[in-house]
Amino acid sequence: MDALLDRTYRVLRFLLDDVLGNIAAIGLLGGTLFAIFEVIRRYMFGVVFEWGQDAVIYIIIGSVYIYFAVTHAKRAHLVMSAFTDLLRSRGLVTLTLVLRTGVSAFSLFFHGFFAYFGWPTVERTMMMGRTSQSMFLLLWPFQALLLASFALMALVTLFHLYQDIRALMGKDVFEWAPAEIHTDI
Amino acid sequence: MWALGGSLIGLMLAAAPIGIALAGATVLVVMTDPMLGPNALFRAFFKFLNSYTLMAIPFFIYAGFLMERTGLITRLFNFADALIGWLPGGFAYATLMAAVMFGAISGSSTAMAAAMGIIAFPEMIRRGYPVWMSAGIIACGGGIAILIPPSITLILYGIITEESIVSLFFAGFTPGIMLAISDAAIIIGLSIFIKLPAGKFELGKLGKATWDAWPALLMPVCVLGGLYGGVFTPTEAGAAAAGYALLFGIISGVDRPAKLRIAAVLGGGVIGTGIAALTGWDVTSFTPSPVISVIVAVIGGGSLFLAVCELVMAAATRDNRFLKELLPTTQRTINLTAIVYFLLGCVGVFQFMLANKGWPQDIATWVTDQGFTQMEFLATLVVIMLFLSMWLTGVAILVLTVPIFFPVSLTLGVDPIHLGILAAIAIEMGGVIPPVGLNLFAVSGTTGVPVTKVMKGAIPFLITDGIVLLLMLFFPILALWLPNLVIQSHFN
Repeated sequence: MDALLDRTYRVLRFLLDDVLGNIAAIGLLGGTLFAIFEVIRRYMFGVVFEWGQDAVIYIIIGSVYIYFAVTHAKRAHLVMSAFTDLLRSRGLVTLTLVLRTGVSAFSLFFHGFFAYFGWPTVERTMMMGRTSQSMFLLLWPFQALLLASFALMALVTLFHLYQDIRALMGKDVFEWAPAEIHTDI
Repeated sequence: MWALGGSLIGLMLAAAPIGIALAGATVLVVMTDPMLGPNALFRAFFKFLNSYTLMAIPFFIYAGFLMERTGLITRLFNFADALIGWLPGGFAYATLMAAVMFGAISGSSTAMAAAMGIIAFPEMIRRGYPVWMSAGIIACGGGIAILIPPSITLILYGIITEESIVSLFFAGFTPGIMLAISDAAIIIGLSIFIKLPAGKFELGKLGKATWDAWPALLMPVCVLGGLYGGVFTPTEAGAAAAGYALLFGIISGVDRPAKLRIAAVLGGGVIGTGIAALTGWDVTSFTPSPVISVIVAVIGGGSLFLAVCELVMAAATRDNRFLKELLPTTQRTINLTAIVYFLLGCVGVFQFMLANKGWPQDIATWVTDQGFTQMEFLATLVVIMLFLSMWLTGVAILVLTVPIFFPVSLTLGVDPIHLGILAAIAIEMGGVIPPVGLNLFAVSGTTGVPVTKVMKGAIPFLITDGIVLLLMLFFPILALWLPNLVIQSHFN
């Protein structure tokens, strides 16, 4: 079971980190280059595309939505770890693991909630043909991208939860995917 | 309200991602309230991120990472060292200057503290600075950075509160200068007290460092000059900064003689501008001065021409160092952006629920009923932020506190710009307040210096930061005079 899940998780992480991660990074680069292009056109030639700002917003936002799942998979979202660090330093490792498992379970509920209740919003936007401010871009593809990202995060959280439960049972799985990563910003 | 607060604190203590704690607690409230539809939360998340102003964040982060990758930060550091490193305590101030520049560019004082712990700390020890002083300076360096554009803290505050980011940048100018002067005074005082040796001024070294650093020095002049001059919006300034760093990276990715580069820039620029003028483009009109317009057209066009040539060469030879690093650098940028945006999306969800429940208004009513004055409220808020900033990073504190306290402060007549500056200084001070301050541990971690010694070095700077904070609290005009002046001059 462990070996099968390990292989599956590796495939999922390859798709996230190496495929979607690179697509998102290229999207960000493209969006930035387009924004620079628009700045030059505006100040040098006094012209801009009507849809220029919207294109910049949605190219970048779309890329970032895709990357949400990558960041979540790496467990790199911002956390306050002072309390759990304190517990661990006092030797309360099991309690820390229980808390981590609880957080993973709640995260699964959270992402599942957004993925499930997001669908009617996407459907409605699609039916009504809602567009961006410039009226050039349809909004639903970007909402669908966000929805897909939440669904992916829910899927990844299933693996996190399994990893945490196994850790609680005294067995480390997915050792190549560390469970403790912090980001400071 | 208590259930929301309880679940939020519980989730945060359990080390749930702060965004998930914030929006997750909201989900729990919404599930128990039939008046609020769960579908609306997804919409609120999506809607909050659809803003052109928000794009300033990835652009500035990108510019910072690109500058780091192209070695511009090291060049700035060398320049600061050559300029003032020879004075008694001068290297300490050069380190502080570099820390400010790096912090201002990367937008993160904790990341800056960790990076400078590796870059500057060994050199300070080699030059005979006491360990505690060196570590303390690095830990406190980001204090000024948070007030200097492009401060991510101020951009985020502006986005959450819908206040003018340019006004916030202007408002940060005076406290930033005050902190710089007070820190300089501390360094000079300490240097005299512990009798630090003076170095030797070398004009040649300064000349070389200036020549090396001019692309880095020109960047803030162009980008921030454009921003302060009212030419660029913050988002455009971010895009321009990223464009500048990209252009410099591509050009400097391969070692070529300086004369060849200058000839290519001038040659390409003159020919390109000439052709453009012949085809009817008015090259004298896009800045207030015709001469400056022509110079910008020639140098800008020439640099673009050189960058295109380098790209063509790189496609053939594949030896451009910068282009090889471009994708990993972009991934670092999008990773940090995703962290910030996810939090902001969750703030959107949280604010949606607060607005529907009317809780900020309830708190505001309670605060006014208690007879709180404006000053009492601000002082309490500053104390809360100082306490929180010992445990949480600046971005987290902003997203947790501002949606709740901002409407209350408006009710009490607090100037939103003043509140933003106070929050920024308090958040940054908290990073070095013993015993938990995040920057203290970041420096301790990278340098191996015990936290107690880092604390000892940080205390003098903490005292001056506290004085500046009190001055800002009691004399709002210190922060507000510049934005007010600029707004008046725009209307006149």
